[in-house]
Amino acid sequence: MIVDLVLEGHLEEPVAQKIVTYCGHEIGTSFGKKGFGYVKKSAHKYHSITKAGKAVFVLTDFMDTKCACIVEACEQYLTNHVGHPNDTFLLRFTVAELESWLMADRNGISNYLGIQSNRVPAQPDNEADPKQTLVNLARRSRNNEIKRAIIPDAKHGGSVGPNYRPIMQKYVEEVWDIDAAQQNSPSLARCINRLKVLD
Amino acid sequence: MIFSRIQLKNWKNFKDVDVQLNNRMFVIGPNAAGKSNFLDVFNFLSDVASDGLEKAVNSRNGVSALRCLAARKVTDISIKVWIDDVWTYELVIKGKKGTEPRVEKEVVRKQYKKSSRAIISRPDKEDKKDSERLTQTALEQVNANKPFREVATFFKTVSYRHILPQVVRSPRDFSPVSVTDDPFGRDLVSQIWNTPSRTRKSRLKKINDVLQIAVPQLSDLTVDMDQPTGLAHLETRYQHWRLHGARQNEAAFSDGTLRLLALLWSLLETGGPLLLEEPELSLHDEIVRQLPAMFAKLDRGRKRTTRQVIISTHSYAMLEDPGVGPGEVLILAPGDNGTEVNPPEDTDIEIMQESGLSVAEYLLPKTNPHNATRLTLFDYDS
Repeated sequence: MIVDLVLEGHLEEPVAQKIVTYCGHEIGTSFGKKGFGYVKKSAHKYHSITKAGKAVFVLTDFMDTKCACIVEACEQYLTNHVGHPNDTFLLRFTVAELESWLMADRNGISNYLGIQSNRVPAQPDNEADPKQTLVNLARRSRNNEIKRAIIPDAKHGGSVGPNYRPIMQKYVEEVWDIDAAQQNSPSLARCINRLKVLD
Repeated sequence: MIFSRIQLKNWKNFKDVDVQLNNRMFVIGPNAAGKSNFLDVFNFLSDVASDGLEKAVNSRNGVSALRCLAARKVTDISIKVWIDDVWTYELVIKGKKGTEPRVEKEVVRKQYKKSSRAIISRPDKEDKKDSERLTQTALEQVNANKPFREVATFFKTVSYRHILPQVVRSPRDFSPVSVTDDPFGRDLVSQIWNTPSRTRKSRLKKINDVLQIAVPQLSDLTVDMDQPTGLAHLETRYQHWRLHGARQNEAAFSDGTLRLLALLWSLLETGGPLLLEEPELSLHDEIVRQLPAMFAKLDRGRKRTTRQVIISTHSYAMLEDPGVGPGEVLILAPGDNGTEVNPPEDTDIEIMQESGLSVAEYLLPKTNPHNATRLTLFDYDS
């Protein structure tokens, strides 16, 4: 089935595409990529696409929702607006954020960053600030290119380094192993199970 | 008058196109899909009407440069336009590489209440007697175009604008003499100067009002002739720490100021269809958001005075306007068979109407280049 994507940011794109392909579906158009505020406000509008026979996969961070639980977030993002959504509309939250899923392939990420695998959190879904955790892991890297790309320069005031997105995109496309990652991230495993039964 | 429909066969990127056009059209598509080539066909008709077929073709590097690479067997180039659903003008050009272009077919029809009638249909008897005649269109000849002068005049009023700020600033570095139709704004300043003074003042006042909002430090826009050089100059007052600010002319204007000024000027001009190439360039998103409504004002609700505007754009901010409807959009999609030009599909229109998603949110992402994000992986080391 063709799956259109509604995404929080640009790094979500290769992740969502890889997951969709892994689950045996065809990648459709990527919408959004304008931050969590846009997804919160507008994701429900894309529900109309399901009526044209395509599936929609919304992917955004749970951390930014400021909701106590997924149920509350689903209400705010979706059911308050469209009532009972079609089965082909999938609103999925990365817990706590996208980087949890990326770190969940512990071997992959440790090799890519050039660090010891036991430094990578065993339960990345439980990290309070996964992006910060990932940046801190990169500080231990023996690879200068990785360090320059991922670690922010204190003078610039950013949360990640200047080449964070492309270097992580390369990781997603070339290294990230979904089988391994879903062993350590329950939220990813649930997302994949849901996508697999889509038809 | 407006172009209400266009059919193209074998024109540049386009093997086969047939689309309806409204008063305001936004042309979207990835880079190099052929947005400019699509706009150029209207400009081409204008050039044929003003300067003749041969010059119009040669200024585009000859017939072989006009043909579509995807159309391997067909060599004829065919253009057919409908004007206000009253007139149709059809031109088929034959031409082989290195030879001069020839009219293979030229038909002008007019729709009357119940039926349509051919006003001109070439090749006719005369053409068969003297094939040299086929090197010229009826459109370009005042004697021959008399029965459809309205159409020829309409074509001539088409204007194409793609303002290059550096050209406006130093026109003579760009070209020592004027350029036909002045698409890049070489003679913008002298054009403003040569406008009758009352019209000029009223237009400059309107532009001034907009500039005040967009560029608050500029005020008091005027145009003046520099006597020793005989060159006209735009001038504004630039506010700074001195009490009265300083005078600044167009050489010191920013790219954004010049583009905005030129855009406003072309909107205020009278004339026919206006073709705008990426009018969002150099402008702040907040300004760009106002452009669609400004374009809409060219539709004066009356056929005689309405100006059609066809805009090529990549701008999210421009297409976010909920007033831009899917019926005002043409999507260019390149493929093995050349570029296809299509309005949004019916299902897409239904989705947009039901969801309230804007053209920017729903249609623009469909034209995104695949794998654009990979650009950042570009490696500088050789």
